Amino acid sequence: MTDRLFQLLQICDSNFPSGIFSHSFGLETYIQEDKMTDKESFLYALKQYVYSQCIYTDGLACRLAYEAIQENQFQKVWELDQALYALSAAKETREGNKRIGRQLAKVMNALYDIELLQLYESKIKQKERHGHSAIVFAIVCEALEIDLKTTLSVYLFTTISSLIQNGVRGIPLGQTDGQKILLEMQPFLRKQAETILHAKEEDFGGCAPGLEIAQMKHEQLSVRLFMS
Amino acid sequence: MTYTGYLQVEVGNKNGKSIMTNSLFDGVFKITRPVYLSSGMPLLILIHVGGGYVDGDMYHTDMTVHESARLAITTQASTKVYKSKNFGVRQSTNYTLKNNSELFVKQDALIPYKDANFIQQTHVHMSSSATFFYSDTITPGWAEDGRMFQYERVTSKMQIFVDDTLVVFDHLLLEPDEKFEQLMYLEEYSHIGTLFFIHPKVNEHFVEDLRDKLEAFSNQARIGVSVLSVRGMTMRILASSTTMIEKIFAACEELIGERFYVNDVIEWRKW
Repeated sequence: MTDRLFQLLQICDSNFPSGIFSHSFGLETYIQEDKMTDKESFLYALKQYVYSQCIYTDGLACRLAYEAIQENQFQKVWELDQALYALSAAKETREGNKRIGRQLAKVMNALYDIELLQLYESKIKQKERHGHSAIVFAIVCEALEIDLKTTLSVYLFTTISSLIQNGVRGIPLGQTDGQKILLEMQPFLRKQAETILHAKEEDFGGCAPGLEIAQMKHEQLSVRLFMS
Repeated sequence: MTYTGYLQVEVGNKNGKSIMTNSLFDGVFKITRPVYLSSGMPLLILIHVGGGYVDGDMYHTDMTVHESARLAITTQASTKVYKSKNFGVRQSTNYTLKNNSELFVKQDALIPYKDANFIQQTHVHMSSSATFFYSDTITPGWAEDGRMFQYERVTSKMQIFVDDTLVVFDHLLLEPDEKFEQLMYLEEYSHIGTLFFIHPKVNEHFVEDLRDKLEAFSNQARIGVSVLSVRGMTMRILASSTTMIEKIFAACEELIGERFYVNDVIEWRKW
């Protein structure tokens, strides 16, 4: 057992106040279009989401930030923050990422004494930086001496577990189905953490446009449960 | 470095008129003599005299629009990329827009055929007082057996810096596989359209009006429009033909013309 087990369990908990609870990152568009209606279609959609958003964008950003911190290349961390912001084409997604990043930084700073995270939060407050969960995770896990692969796995797990909770409310699905999806996703997430470890830096931010369009179309939905 | 095609263009403002102050081309890239549109803006047409893009080709373009100058540029024909598995085909473009300048870029379709590997990088460095319009289309090249998406990989990165800050990072990474035509990827469509319009007067209100106007196409294409973090907008389209994407671009250009240019729409037709 890793001696960081309890710390990891705490930051992965679905009650952890990150604010992701209010965001679907485009998934609500698909819910309203009846593309996600039951356990099977939701599980499928989550895997597509991981492929298009979590590997080359959020996951790779987390890895690159973690590696940059270890090499004391802090300017690169701030550049990643700017790149992540510039990568969100949809306004709601851009604002959502920012809000969650800011909130996560604030809570983590209340829990831990990490100089770099304090600097990140003050830069966010001064509007020099935007805030993104991938950067906060990289800073916190690196400071807690959690290895990179575990960091990426935890980041994927917590993102997907939160989206499942949101899907359970939005589709809606039973709580048990939600937990079954989370269990079924685990071997897949383990494999994708490995993919992120070996991804090329030049592929950072790469994707096909379907999800991005769904995120932009979300701004036009007339009745919405989520802010993005 | 020797490029397969190299192009350098500078446009400046002389006594209220936009004129080419520098032009240099080499290899398979050529440009036409500028045609002056009714608004007085010069239109240049980029010509590739080599017929198509093949393995190992490298292209580079530098274009600068100086203070208070205007320029429109388009391509003569589609960009056809053939088998390029070993080295790939690389194309890099730098656009520099000085204070109060305007640049309008309209690229014909990029058609990657079987086993094509195309790597494109576009950098835009602009002043916040400048205007930048850009549109392009990526279509699947058909293979002999009639199947689409036989290309190996297409990556297209567009980075827009406004007053030296990276504000748009658009990175299409297309690698046809089993999930490629599905949900969150191409969603059963085949053609991808991209449009950026950065202008000091674009706001949420304009984006809402554009969405209303594009409602007419909602059964034939999937369209996303949103405001950027600077004054400007982005549009992404999934459709089943180049013609459909062209119609949607035209509708967008029409609204831009109506709102910002006293009904002056750029006549892109090939002169």
